[in-house]
Amino acid sequence: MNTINESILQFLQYTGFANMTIQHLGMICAGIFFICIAIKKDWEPLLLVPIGFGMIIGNIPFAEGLQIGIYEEGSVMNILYQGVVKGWYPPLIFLGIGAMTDFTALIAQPRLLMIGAAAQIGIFGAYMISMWLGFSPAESGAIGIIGGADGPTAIFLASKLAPELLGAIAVSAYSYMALVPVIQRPIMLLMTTKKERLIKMKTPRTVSQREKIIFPIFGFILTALIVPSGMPLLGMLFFGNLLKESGVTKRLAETARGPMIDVVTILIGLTVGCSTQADIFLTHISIKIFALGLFSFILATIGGVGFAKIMNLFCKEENKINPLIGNAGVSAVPDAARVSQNVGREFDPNNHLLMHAMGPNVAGVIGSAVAAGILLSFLG
Amino acid sequence: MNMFTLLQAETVLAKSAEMAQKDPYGWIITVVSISVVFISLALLFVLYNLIGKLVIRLSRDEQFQENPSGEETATAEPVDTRPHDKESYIITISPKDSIDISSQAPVIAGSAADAGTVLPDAANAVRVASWKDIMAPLPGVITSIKVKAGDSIKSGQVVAVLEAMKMENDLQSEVDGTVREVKVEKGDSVLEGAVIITLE
Repeated sequence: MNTINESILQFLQYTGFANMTIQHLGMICAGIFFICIAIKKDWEPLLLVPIGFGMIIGNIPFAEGLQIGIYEEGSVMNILYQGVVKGWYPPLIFLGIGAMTDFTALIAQPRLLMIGAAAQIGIFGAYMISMWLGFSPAESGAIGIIGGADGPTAIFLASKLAPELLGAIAVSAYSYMALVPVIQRPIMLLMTTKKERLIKMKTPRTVSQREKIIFPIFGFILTALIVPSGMPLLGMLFFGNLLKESGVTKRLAETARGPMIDVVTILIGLTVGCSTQADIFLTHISIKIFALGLFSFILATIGGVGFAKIMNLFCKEENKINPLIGNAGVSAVPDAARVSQNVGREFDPNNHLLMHAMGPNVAGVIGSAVAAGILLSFLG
Repeated sequence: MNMFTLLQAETVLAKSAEMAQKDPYGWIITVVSISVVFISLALLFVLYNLIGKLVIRLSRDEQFQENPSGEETATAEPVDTRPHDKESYIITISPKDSIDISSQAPVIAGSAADAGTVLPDAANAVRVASWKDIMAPLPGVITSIKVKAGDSIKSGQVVAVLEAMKMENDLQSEVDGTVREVKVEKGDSVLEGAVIITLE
């Protein structure tokens, strides 16, 4: 009889109810909130649904020692999490992004590359503020990269520089990527005049297949020679793009941008969500990281829009850039470009900025991968 | 944690501590890094400008050899616009207050365009210029067509939906008029500038 009592008692002690804390409950609610906004508002559902459910999984309290938790070595979640910890999911995602992205807008108008460079000031602005707040340089670099608006890059760099902050950085990067329309629109309106918003940009020239094939090869050689540490990301990005454009590897390109990126997205989303286990995730440091991430997003948008305006000072009237595409310098592809398109059409329903905005947008991907490479070579 | 990750973690810590000492406010790294980002992308910019010019010249030469009359044949390439996720961002703009479709302006402009005469009057010239067919502003796939031949449409009315970059864009008419012909079908891929609907 005693043993049965003990067993029942033990079972009760092992239930989630017995171990539940207010923090766990809070994180579970946050997870449900993520799923809700993904479904209701349609904001990045492909990321927020896995992350949201991951947050619920990760915050079911359990008695330690049973190899269940994501931080317990050898558990299923822990094994899946290794792709995040060791940073090999992000390059796989980049392969898919490369196979998905049309660089035509950039090849036709290479000057838009500079907007993508300017938007990277968000990263370094946040880096300096983080240093000032007392984070170490390595941690500051990992936090700053949130401003690149690029989830995979943020995970890649954080896994190398500040693995202990990875969960907070990844969740904050992905949440703000989903919130791009909300964060960027007011800044874009604040920084542009009515006249600037109505600028119609010249139709870009047609780009030949040959140029599209040359682009990834030379683009990779040049950027990787300058920043070899960015090679895992840049290599995969440009390789994916070559698969897409070569014209003879259609099957590989389709797998890379279809089933493969989907599989990795599921794993990365779920495990990143899971890594928000309340007792490890909920600290005042995570809150600081969220604030810094928001700051770097805002600064990146200001940088992009501001730089487009500066470029306009040197452009002839017919070559003027609509500064509303400046926000797309952050590398949330293609969400940031969609924001340009939507805001542009609010003021002139026949002004389609989407293709123009794709230029800075993909430049932003290259820019943030380069920035990550630099930070890694300085601090890693 | 295996030896390698331990080792890596130690180097990060050591380097980080060294940096914290040498560069307590982070501005050295900031300035250097921003410069490197700008230089890399500026080099890419220069490179692609050169490649672009070179490729254009090469293709002109080739075309000249094939087609010595000098006529350029634009080659249209299929654009990959397969939707990745179904996200619809349709902006519905409420139709303007009812405009009399049989208003004079389009008729005048239409007849002028039909007759092929260019009106010297500036105001009319503008009207003729805006009196054009509805073209695709972006390369993409037509996902729905909202009008058929013979329909009267108003300025601002959505005539078709074009999906580009996983995003649905409403195509609106800039003028009032009657649809003469719908040039595309649902599911067609169109390039930028392709005529979608001609108006009378």
